[in-house]
Amino acid sequence: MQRRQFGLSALATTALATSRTAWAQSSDPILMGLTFDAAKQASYYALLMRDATILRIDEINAAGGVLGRQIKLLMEDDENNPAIAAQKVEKLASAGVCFIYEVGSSAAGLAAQRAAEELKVPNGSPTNVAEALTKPHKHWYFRFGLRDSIATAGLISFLKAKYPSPKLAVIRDGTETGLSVSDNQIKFLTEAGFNIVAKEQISPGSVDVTAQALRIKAADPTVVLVSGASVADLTNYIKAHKLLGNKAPMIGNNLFATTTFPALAGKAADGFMFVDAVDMGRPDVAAVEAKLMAKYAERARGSSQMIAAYDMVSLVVDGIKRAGGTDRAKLRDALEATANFQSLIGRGGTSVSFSPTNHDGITNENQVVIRLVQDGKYAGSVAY
Amino acid sequence: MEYLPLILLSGLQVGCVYAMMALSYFVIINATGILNFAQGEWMMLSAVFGAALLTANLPYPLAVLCAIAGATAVSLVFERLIIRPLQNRNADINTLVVALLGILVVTRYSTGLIFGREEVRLDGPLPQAPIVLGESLFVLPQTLFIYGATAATFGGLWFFLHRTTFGRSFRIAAIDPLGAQIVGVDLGKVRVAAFAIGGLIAAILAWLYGPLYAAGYLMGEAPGVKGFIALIIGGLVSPLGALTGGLLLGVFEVATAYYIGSLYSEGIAFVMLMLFLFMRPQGLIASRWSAP
Repeated sequence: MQRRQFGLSALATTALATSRTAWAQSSDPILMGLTFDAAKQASYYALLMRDATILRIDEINAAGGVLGRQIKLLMEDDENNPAIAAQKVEKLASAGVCFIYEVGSSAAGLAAQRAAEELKVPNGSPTNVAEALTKPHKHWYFRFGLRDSIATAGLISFLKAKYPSPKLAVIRDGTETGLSVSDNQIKFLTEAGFNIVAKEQISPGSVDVTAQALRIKAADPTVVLVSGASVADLTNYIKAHKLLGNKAPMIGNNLFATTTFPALAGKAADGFMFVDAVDMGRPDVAAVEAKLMAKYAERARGSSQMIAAYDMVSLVVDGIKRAGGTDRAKLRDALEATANFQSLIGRGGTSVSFSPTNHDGITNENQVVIRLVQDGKYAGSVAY
Repeated sequence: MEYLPLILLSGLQVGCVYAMMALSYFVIINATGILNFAQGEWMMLSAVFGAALLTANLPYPLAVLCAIAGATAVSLVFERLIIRPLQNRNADINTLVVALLGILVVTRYSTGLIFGREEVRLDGPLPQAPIVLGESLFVLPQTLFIYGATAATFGGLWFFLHRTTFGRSFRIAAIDPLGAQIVGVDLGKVRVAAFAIGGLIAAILAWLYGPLYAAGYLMGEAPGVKGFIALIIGGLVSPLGALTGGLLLGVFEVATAYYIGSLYSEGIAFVMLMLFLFMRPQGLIASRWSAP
């Protein structure tokens, strides 16, 4: 009798424990990780993307979460330092995150990606452009936006469409990221047969860039490519360019999607164009921009980086749903099987599809957007 | 040669910024023996405070005054809370260097945390339309303001050091601290005055450099480094050294960028630094200011 009673109670205890475990598994939050630069050189855009990620996760949680579970975002400051970024990925992986968003610089992103690849954690970034993030192909990494070669291919298509046989001048800033970004662009433009008639550089924090603007004026370019990573330094050039009466139109890289650029440059930015991944004139993009502005006010105005970060959460959540849970390998497979995800990025609406050989969201130069600044504000995109 | 006058005007403008920063180092080094790495951060604070006050719609002159006063006050707080206790305990130079680097990092990144990391526009007091002087020559009103403010600052310091009793005490303390104490100079007061004047000069500089660049928590770095190089080139023992070194460095940088190419202009400051350290370590102006 006693043995029977013991057997029954053991069975009941086991059943209770099993059901508790099952309940706990279904109600535990889904852990996601985010590495970002909280205070260093990449922080001005990393913080925007962090905030957009938070808003999208809050929205999803308010709507009931994913698979009946809430999402919890664990955030780590990568200090814009590749070594620290790798450490933070290890920390997030140990905490059990199913996906890591990397919204800092490409340099930190590359280190974070290497660590995540070794630890077999799905990861990705909304806007990092470094070619090496997906070339050669990475098994666990997914890029949502543009990579360098696609952005430059889009720029090349635009230049060829607008300016037949242009003489190109390049002005860039001397920050580490600025040099890396511009070197890549120059390489692709040279390979495409463009005639680069001047290449000038601005020391970070320069008081005056009259000399650079004079040299570019003397080279008489058709177009000036403004490339790099320091908005203030390059804005200084844009002002000097206009002040010296240089008539050549200027076109920049996606750096200029930072929300303070039109205010910093003032009238000098009128007519300035830049390459981007998001067409802010689209109604669906404008609706998300309005939501972001409702929470983050002017910081969110015209910020394509926030749009991309916001939309990437939707992409990952879609993957979790298709994977039926947060198992990292299953989520990776589900993300890789993404087909025609209707995204907010790209010209005229781009459906994102990944495959076993492609983890880039934008794969076609025709999806590259050329945005325009007019009257001190972002003014939609340029048709070409 | 068509643009030589414009290049010279640009170079002098850059040089004035470097000279002002060099002067703020000079005042503190001479009175206390301390090379305060954080001088660029007081400039940054003044610009960031000012931008925030202007955004809050404070009248321009009041915003400028409050920003300059605020940044100078912060420099004095750090002197009182960190530098003075360390010097009173006769802390060795390594400890002081680490403390000064700590001040720089804390000031820079806490400002970014509080005021945001995006660079914002900081307008100058004068209109932005250039004054045309010839077919290939123009000058911005802000550039003239920079020349004038630099001249006024150097002139004001000269007057303070040579025409006031406390200024004379300051000079004695710089030449011979022990002798100064014997004749009754309060070295503590001199140290406070040095930090106040150094902080004030850096805070004023924000309103020369900021309108040409932007206000942001990282803006102190480049002028901080270049100002120090200018002081080494000019010499550590006279305000004239700060002025000469700053102007020379500014003109060389801009001329290199124009005549040789901007890819090389970044290195010119460091090449000059190396040349002076090897060939004339005392700098261009080697004679100390005369005794009062």
